Amino acid sequence: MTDTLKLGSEAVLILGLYLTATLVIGFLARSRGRMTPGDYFLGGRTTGAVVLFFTMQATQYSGNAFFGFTGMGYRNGLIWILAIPLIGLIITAQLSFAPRLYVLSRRRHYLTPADYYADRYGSTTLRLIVAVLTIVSMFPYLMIQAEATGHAIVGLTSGALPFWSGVVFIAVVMSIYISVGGWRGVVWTDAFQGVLLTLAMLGATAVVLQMAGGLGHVVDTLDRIQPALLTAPADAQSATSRWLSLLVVSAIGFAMYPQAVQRIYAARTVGALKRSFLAMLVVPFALGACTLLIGLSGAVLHPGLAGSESDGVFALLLADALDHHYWLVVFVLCGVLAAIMSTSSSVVLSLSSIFTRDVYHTVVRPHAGDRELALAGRVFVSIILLLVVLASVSPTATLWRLTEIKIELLMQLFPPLILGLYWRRTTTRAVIAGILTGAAVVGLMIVAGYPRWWLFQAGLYGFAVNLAVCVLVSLAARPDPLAQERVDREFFAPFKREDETNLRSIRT
Amino acid sequence: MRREPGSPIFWLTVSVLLFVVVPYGFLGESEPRFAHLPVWFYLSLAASVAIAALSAWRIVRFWDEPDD
Repeated sequence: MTDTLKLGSEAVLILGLYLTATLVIGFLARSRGRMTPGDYFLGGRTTGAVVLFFTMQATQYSGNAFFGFTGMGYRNGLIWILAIPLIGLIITAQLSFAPRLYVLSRRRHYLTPADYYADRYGSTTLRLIVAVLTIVSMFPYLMIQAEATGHAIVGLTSGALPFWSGVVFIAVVMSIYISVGGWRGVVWTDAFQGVLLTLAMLGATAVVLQMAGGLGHVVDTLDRIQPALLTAPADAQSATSRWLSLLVVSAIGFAMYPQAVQRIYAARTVGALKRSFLAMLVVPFALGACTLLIGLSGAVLHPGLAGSESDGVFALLLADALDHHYWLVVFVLCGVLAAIMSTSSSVVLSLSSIFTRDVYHTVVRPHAGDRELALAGRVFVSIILLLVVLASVSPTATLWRLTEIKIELLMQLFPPLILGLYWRRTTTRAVIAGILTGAAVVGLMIVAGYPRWWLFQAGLYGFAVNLAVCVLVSLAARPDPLAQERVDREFFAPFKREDETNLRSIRT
Repeated sequence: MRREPGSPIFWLTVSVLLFVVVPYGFLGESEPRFAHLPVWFYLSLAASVAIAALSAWRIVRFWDEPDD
């Protein structure tokens, strides 16, 4: 996407400085002494509000924010103001489960999202289903990030580093700082990368908008050449199927990202989690608006791009800016790389924890000690990155479409999570049947060529079926008093006022 | 029960606001305008602000902190 840029050797120097900085931060963040899996994957659950906010932000905004989101603004025009609630609603959706899940994760030492499901429903099968669904959903996402990395490196080095060597080089750098620093390495580099990507997005927006003649000129020009981009959705059906459905699917699906759930586990205190959530509610108003403004400016300066080609409009705009804003373009490309690397490293660490805890520790080596599991986590980091590099091929769908498929599968984990937190009668069989049925509905609709049908996206149909199966199968089962008593004691009692003393014990 | 930010009224309000965020009241329209931009754009933005502000208020006022 950035192959058209012609940068000098200084750009390679800046790239080298940026990568060196991430490695140094990764090494500084490493813990001395022996690491338990809790230390390696969650930083000992001691992450404070500031770092937690930056790692949430850097993880949420990937290369997709620069390419996929600006492409959406380019294709859809002003209605892409919905980028703001689309991102902001993730935190709102997490309010439905974060307060209880945080408390349970402290009391019951959860490391991965599947830990909760396995614990609440007492099922190893469910753990494996959740783990496999998460891995299947997140792996293509990593492949997209790897491909975007290759393009960014080619652009930054003007082709001095070929595509594949760029992907391998960045994978090696990430492998080093994740393996050495674990959680702390990832979140500290996230903090650095989060600042970088925010400044890059703001800088790029200012320059691109200036090139397009300012917002007023952009709107007036679009009024003449593409008035449809200033028009609200044509009818209620398209407004619902295209936008309302997207907002709901995104809010739930993004909220279920394994790395997002693990950031809830890792907070030092409820106060830290609350403050990071509050800051996260503000960020979309800046960065979401930036993607809209860049997309609209692109529609004025480069009209006529279609389909996945429009995801490249950001790169075309950078090429336009090269003559007068050389250093800013170099900086923005580093910001793009920061966005990609921060998201990728968080996903890789998260997937590594899932392989280690939910697969290796559960199926392969149930009696493995902490040291072996921490070592296994490091090995899995390298294996995952190797597989991602080998599997990275050019996508056939747009970046945004691949993101949608991923979140539509992940949102199938939401009903059993919520029902398990708020409804005592939910049974193991019901949630297994619900998840499998919901995922099957999504898969079949996508394979059959119906990613959207009538009013909603496939993910919402799967979600509705999933929820209905969970409720109906649970109601059909005769309640088991022993199981109900365990669920009451371990998963509901902590949230009653009379158990205040018990709840305070989670401080330790 | 302990206080938590989510409540039926909260989710109902967010759901209603979603129907303002998506401009159902201005289907197929790009007029009237204010400062170059269609009015539906400002309403959608205002509803987004309302959802974020409501979420923030619930976090601050209704999420108990047992360990702080």
